[in-house]
Amino acid sequence: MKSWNSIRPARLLAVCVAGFAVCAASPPSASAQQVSLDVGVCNPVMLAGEKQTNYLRIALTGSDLPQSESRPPINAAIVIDQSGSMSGQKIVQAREAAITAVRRLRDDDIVAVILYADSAHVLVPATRATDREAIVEKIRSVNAGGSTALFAGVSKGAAEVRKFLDSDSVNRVILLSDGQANVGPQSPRELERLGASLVKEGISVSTLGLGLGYNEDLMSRLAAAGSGNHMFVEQADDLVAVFQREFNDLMSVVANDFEIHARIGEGIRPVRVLNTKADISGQDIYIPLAQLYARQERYFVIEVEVDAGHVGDSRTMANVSVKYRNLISETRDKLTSRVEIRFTDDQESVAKHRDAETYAYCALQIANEKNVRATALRDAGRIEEAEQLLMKNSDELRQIEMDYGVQLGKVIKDELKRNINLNSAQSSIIADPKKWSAGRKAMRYEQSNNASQQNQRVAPPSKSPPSGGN
Amino acid sequence: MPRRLLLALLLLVAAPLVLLGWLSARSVEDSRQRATERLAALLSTRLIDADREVGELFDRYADQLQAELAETSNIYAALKRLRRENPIVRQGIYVDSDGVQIFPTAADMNGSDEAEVAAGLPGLIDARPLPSRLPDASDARGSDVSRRPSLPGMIRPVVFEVAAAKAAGSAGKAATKSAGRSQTPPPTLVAWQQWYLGDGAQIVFWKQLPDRSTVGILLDRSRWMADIISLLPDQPPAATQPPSQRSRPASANADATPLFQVSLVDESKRLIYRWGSTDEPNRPPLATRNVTRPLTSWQFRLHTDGDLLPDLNPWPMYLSLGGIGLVLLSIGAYVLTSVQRQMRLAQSRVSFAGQVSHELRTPLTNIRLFTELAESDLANLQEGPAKSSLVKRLQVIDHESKRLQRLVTGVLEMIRPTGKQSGVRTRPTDVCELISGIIEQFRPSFASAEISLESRCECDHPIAIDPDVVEMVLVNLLSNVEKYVPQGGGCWLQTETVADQATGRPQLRVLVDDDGPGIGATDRHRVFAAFQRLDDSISAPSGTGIGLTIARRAARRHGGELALLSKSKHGGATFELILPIQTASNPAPK
Repeated sequence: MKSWNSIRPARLLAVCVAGFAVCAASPPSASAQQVSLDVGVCNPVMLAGEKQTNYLRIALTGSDLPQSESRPPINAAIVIDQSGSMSGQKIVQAREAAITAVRRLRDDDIVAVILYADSAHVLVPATRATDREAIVEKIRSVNAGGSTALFAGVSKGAAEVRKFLDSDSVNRVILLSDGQANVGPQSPRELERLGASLVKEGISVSTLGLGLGYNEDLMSRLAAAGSGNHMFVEQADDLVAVFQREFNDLMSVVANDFEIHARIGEGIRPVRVLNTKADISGQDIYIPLAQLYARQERYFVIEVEVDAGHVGDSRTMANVSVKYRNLISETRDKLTSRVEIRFTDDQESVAKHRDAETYAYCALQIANEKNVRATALRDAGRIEEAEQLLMKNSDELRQIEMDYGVQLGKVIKDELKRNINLNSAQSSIIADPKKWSAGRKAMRYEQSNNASQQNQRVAPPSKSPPSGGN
Repeated sequence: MPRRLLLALLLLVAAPLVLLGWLSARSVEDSRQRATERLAALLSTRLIDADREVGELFDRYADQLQAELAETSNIYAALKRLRRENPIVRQGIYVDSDGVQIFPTAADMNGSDEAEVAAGLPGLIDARPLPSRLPDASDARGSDVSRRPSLPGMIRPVVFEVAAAKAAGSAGKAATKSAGRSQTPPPTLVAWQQWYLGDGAQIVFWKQLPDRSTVGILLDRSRWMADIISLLPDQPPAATQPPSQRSRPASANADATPLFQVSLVDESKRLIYRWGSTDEPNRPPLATRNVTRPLTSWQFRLHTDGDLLPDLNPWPMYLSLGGIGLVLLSIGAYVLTSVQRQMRLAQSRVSFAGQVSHELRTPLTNIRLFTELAESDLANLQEGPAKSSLVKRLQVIDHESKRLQRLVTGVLEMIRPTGKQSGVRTRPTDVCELISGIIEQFRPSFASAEISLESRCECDHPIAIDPDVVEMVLVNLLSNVEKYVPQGGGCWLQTETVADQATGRPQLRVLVDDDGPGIGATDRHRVFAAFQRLDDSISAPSGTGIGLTIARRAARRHGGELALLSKSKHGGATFELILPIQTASNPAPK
């Protein structure tokens, strides 16, 4: 069971990066796999004498999965749209995808299958996967017809997951929909609030949008609030593969039940967390996160407003503490970190001390926010503005790549490149009404992908002892 | 006549049909109503069950929140933590004993959703069910509301109830608003508030602390909606299966398609969740039930399929009504045709009688002619007993043949089509002579009946009338006198020419008066009707009952009138015959 413990020591110390971050992780048990915490500031050195905006990045990197078969048990509800629009190849593929997923489960995993159309129906109540064939047999009977009671489907799915809710399992509702919710609550906001509520209990929600008919705003916001993945599945044939990916993620969860708390220092005002809904109360920021996948790099960018300081002064920017459930060691772990800023009157010093990596990540999230704005502009019919915004986005990111490229790690470099291309590609299709339906869904998918780094993984560690950090 | 019969027949058919139709429609409606009520009563237990689930859910929330709030000493930290960690909590609120909102502060409300909540909070707090200090609070409320611009979330007034959490026991149950005013509230005074904010109805849980400050918990609408939905029954799968799927194992699909649908609708009647049959309800709900506190603006509705209700198909009713109509119609038609057949038969009898009468006229005329010839021949014979005997017998033949002729004429008059003034042959006639001739005819029979007969005629010059008509009328009247006036009675005839009161034209007026029993007032209208005899007993004098009818018809054919006067000079019956006199300026009607 604990055979992986000896593979390598924690990588935590290695990722306590330069700048003025002070790593103070709780002493990890020498053999345990650990999540690493990395807190960075865009501009650790700031110009004195004026109020400025700065950005703080809290990054978490999941440990690698142990080599053994052992992994945390899954407790998932597969919520399948069986409305009339799903008929034909879609429902066939959805059945196939669900069956394939169920077959992959271990005996101690728990699965429920919920169907929704005019109402919601628990096809398979939450049950251990020991009797796979009975579950598969039931899934085979699913057919399509009726309207789309999406909210009810999620509600019933969550209720099934809740039956076996356990902080040691991966609790997830997987929602598949190809259409607009038309029975029951249906606004993106209502679904978003439901997702946020579920995350508080440790249930995450993933949404798979199938085809070009679903409400991408609803689905992406539900997944974002529900701390799950959002995926755009244009072709029904890809459904099996997407389900596989989703279950790959589920099976690779290394930590969950996060409490990410950043206490912002005096003289600094927290403004917001980019692309994430966080609980900000006074100087305290709590960021919801349901789980971390193996080797996933998950980070949050906090925008703060720094009051004018004196030259030479330093100020505590934030005390960050991350508590989580380590599913590999089955312990509750805690990481802490503290970052400071310093004031100077030298413009060059500011530039010189800029944390390139943090800066690039922050720029990425800012660009992502602008990307969301571009979608809104396009929705409002201001196509030209949207196009220009995307091009500007692309240019700005390219500039950062040129300025700091050499100092950046591979992950962020790849992300930058991907986003540069993404923004310019989007700017070229945004004006085309024929491509917009799929384009908008793709855009929302990329936005949530960027916001939650659902595909962002660090390179698997080599067999040699870890070299450390960036 | 047949048209009237036809109308009567139609009425005969239609009236019972309408009545039957109305009755059966009513009984169908009644039985449907009763069945609907029974069904509603039967199925509304489901609504009650569902409603109880919802009530219990909110009770659990209340217990849970009570426990959370009881554990803590630092209320601010607790409220912050609840918002962060408790799935049902959207926002905590703390109002001090002066009714001032202490928490959340502006710094606690970051983001657009929070800003919306923050904007709605003052109104929500003003309307909270557990006001801290009532006089102050109500003052503040009055002024506050007028000062603050109206917010979209404040469209409707607060609806609240005091809820008794189980922990509160009877003290909490008894705690009403007024109780809260008058006495120190028990430490567990809690209440629910329903408030409209953002997406719709929001539920707030309030708890009063011992220092009269209040803690409110705005519940997450999406979350309690989801919890309600997850408590409510499932959609049985059968309804969503297309027919091709029916063949799969019954075990997987054991539930029969439900015949009813229950839906939960929110405050704006928007569908939140439904289960049961999947058909879109197209009729008003069979039963409704408002959700119990605190979600009183929501409603459960029960719809049923048509199958559960008695068949409303009106065709059986229409068909049976049509059948009854058909039967009635055929009976009516049968009656109508048989009546028509009878009438045709009677018609042919009448026409036969007419033809026979016509045929009788010629031999009668011949008999009279030869009787007269025989009388004139007899006059030339020597007087002797043989002659006087022959004369007597010839007189009898003459008299009887005249009587026969009158009868024939009467029959012909009777069968003559009414309303046609035809067959009137006016010629200058000495009326007095004519009348005395008629009287002479009756003299022997009157004499034998010992009835006196007096005639007064004031008409000295010939006038243009049809003597046959006058004769027919008078013969009929006099034979009635002969029949009905008892022995020793009298009869008075008065003839004169008078001027018509309206036109001034001259007319003949003959009054026939007697002192017999007369005709009772009730029988007056009957005497001229055909085949009417006032006394139809065996002992009554013989007669056909058409004499007066014939007489009146004859008079009318002449343009005159025969009437029974209401007053008689001699106490019997008085008939008045009036006939217009033909003059050059007054031609006979054709």
